[in-house]
Amino acid sequence: MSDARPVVVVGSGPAGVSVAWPLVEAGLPVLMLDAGAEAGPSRVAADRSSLASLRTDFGTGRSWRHLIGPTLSGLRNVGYASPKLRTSAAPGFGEDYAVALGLDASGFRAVGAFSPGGLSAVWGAVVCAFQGEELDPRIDAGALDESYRRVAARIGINGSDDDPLADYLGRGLPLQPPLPVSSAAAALLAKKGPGGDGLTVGRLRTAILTRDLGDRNACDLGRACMWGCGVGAIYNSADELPALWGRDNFTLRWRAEVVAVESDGSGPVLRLRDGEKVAARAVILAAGVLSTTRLVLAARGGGQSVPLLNNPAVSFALLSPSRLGRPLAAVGHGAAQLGFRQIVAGKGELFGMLYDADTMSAVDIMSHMPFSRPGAAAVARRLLPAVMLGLGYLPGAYSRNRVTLAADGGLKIEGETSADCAATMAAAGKALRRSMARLGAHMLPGSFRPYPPGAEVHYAGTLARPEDSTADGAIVGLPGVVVADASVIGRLPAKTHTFTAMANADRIGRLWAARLSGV
Amino acid sequence: MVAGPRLVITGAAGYIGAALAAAARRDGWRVVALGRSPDPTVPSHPWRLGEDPPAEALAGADAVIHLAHQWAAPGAQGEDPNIPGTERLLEATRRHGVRRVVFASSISAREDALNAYGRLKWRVEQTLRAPVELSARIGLVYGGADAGLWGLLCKLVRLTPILPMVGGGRPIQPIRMDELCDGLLRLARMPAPTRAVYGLASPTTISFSAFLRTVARLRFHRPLMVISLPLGPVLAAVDLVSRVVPAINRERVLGLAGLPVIDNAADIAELGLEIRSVVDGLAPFARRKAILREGRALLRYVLGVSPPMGMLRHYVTGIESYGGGRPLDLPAPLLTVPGLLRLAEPVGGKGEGRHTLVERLEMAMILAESQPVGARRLYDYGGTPRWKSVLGLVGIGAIEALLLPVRMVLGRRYR
Repeated sequence: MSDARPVVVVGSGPAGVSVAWPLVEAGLPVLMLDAGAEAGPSRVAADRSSLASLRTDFGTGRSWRHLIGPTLSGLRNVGYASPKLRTSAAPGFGEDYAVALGLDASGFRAVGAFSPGGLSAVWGAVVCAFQGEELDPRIDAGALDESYRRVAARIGINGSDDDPLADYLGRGLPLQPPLPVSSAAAALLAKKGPGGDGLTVGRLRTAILTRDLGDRNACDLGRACMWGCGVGAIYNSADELPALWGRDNFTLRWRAEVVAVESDGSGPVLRLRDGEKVAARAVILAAGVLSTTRLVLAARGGGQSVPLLNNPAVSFALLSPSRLGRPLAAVGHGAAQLGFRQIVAGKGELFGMLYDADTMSAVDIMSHMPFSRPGAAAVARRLLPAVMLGLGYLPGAYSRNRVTLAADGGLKIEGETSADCAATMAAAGKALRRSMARLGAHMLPGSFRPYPPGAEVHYAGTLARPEDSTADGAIVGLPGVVVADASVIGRLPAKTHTFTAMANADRIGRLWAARLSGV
Repeated sequence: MVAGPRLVITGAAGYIGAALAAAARRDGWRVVALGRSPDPTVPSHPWRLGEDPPAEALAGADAVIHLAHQWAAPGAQGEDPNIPGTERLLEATRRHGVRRVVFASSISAREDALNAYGRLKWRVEQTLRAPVELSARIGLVYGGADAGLWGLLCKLVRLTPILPMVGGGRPIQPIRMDELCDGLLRLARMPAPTRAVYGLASPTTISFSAFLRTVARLRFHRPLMVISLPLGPVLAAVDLVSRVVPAINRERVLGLAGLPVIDNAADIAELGLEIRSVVDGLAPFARRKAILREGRALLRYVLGVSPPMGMLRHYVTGIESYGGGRPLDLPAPLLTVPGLLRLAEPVGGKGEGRHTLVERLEMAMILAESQPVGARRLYDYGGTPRWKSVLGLVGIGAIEALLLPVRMVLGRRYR
């Protein structure tokens, strides 16, 4: 008996696309629903000049179109959330999200978006494999390893196994040649610390192409990554949709916001915002942790409360005085230059990345200076060549956020960190300050600033307990409903987790492809 | 395809068309212009009313909004080109199975309208026959670019403090440009319309003279006196004026004097449209002037030179779109001598969502950075001798240290 109902994947973000591929390849009819609107090509103009030219060349004209966007969306106040939401997110990105989810967050900054590609439209593209203890023990490590390789080959990752961080980031992935690092980063890499201080600095793996792949092009070294990529070098799951669409058994619907998951006795039925109902053979939720969690909690009913993992995050600035006065680099990439891992004796670790300060908007850096604006501008001009900005993450085990379904159907999030989180963060800062100083990079006083919970995203683990889901993503108590995004990943190390969320979605997709096609 | 619905607009380069194309794109439509395009980013197919539209323009179109209107040559005889032109367009949309056609008609459309325009629009409406073909009877459009009849009215109101006019007491039903675009797009999307003709106009009326007085007060910040005149002598006078200002002619006067009132409250309700009063609709203009003044001062302060005009416009748009839309109540000395802000700029206190001076300075800074004139002050791609750079840092640090206590005192009120 063949079943005409499609397998419905909810969400076009990295997890949705990753779970869809194995299902489509297995020949199953797949219907992807996304709440966002496809508003033309997602990419930045391909003929955009380099960042240096946009900033200094009067001849290019209309620099502002690229730097703050044709609709000036770069002027909106994104508060304490990542400045990237301001510089590269499409107009309206994330704005309808909180309303649609009925979000009520206290002590937590919730970020999410109804747009093609989900949050991958603005991600940092840093790719790490979880290993050993870092991995949720429920996930089959062998199957996940295969998925890591499948996803890496699909999306294109640059990096090198010949690197101090290679053991930590995971070896054995198909890699494109590494991106060239900036002179500031190269100088830091060349300095050999005394060792024994728990710090490892090395190259990162990023989902940025250094060789053309499909219709995406290799990085053009224009250094304007923070303002979006003009050539499609930085992976955005929306860029995979045309290839999926090319398959006869794949269909995609925009503006199809799923508001409820129901059942008609023979299988799950999705209710859309406009009242339409879509019957499915199986529903695979990959709508992003907050959306997915709300749908599942609402479908199960009752005032339930689940944990929400996220990485406590911190930003800081490092000054290398020997670089003062150097000209800013006009050529290179503008994503994270280096990775670092700082082990804090007896307290776990801080993982993070370093950016050249001039690849970000100086205005965001200046907003931390207690000077007048003209004074801050003059200081920024002189400091930028010598400053690297860092982002660091503690393991998700230090978060204590809770998510509850409110009586009105909205999602209530209470942000909290563990009792020892602040002390661990401070200890990590202290250790990092000391070990970076030995490399000639001095942390600027007052610059080590933890983010409020949630602001740096990295959400996971809401539905990862055995009472909520099985190891293959099936939701307990909701037959035919599977979750494929990070909601079912129950452990977050200090590493960024998007790549693992994608690999896990691929793993779940392969499992269900086999099951649903009766193999 | 992986894409939003496709909307074809005729007359997209016009007063309403350009605004509609922009609004449609914000709303997620893929916009295609049939005829001239409002800007190079909107793809277009060459076409003139009366020609067969190229097949590739209509293939796959989800909706067509027909705004194009051909003004008859003065003294032209015979059938008006708009009627066969629209018929030809409709034949093509029917052939391609376009699921919605919206024709931009006028509130003055009547078989027995006073002016030729109203009679013509009525006749064009009669060419729409299929249930998917709708007419939108549009009221007096205001706001948007200074073009069309609105541009003309603005010119008049700015020209003179005393405006003699006919039919000043006549009730009119205005609609703001953004409300009109919203309405047209709702018509284009609407799954099951219950009528063939929808009135896109304010369901409540305002007298024409009150409308103009409000425009004068809120947009141009000046009083306006409207004197009612009898129609006959005015038409004679207008015939004279039209030789100097061709936009003012007999037909337009008749159009204004003869506007009927339509009862469209149910139409508006069915569309779920919200239409503001003229006072609310024009309020942004009054605030704009104050924001402009504020922007000139803040941008000058962060740039060190007078801002380019485009940047100033961006400031106004930025405040209106993302900054609360109201000017801060900054004292005149700060607005006149922006350099004084260096003493009065608050220390810290970035109030999220509260529209404070700090937040505005940040916006000004982002705007400065968005163009080379400001970015060159921030980014040194040429390099500087190291000693000079260090010395500079020390010097600025010293000055800022001296300024800090002053700012803490003077800046407190702007936090």
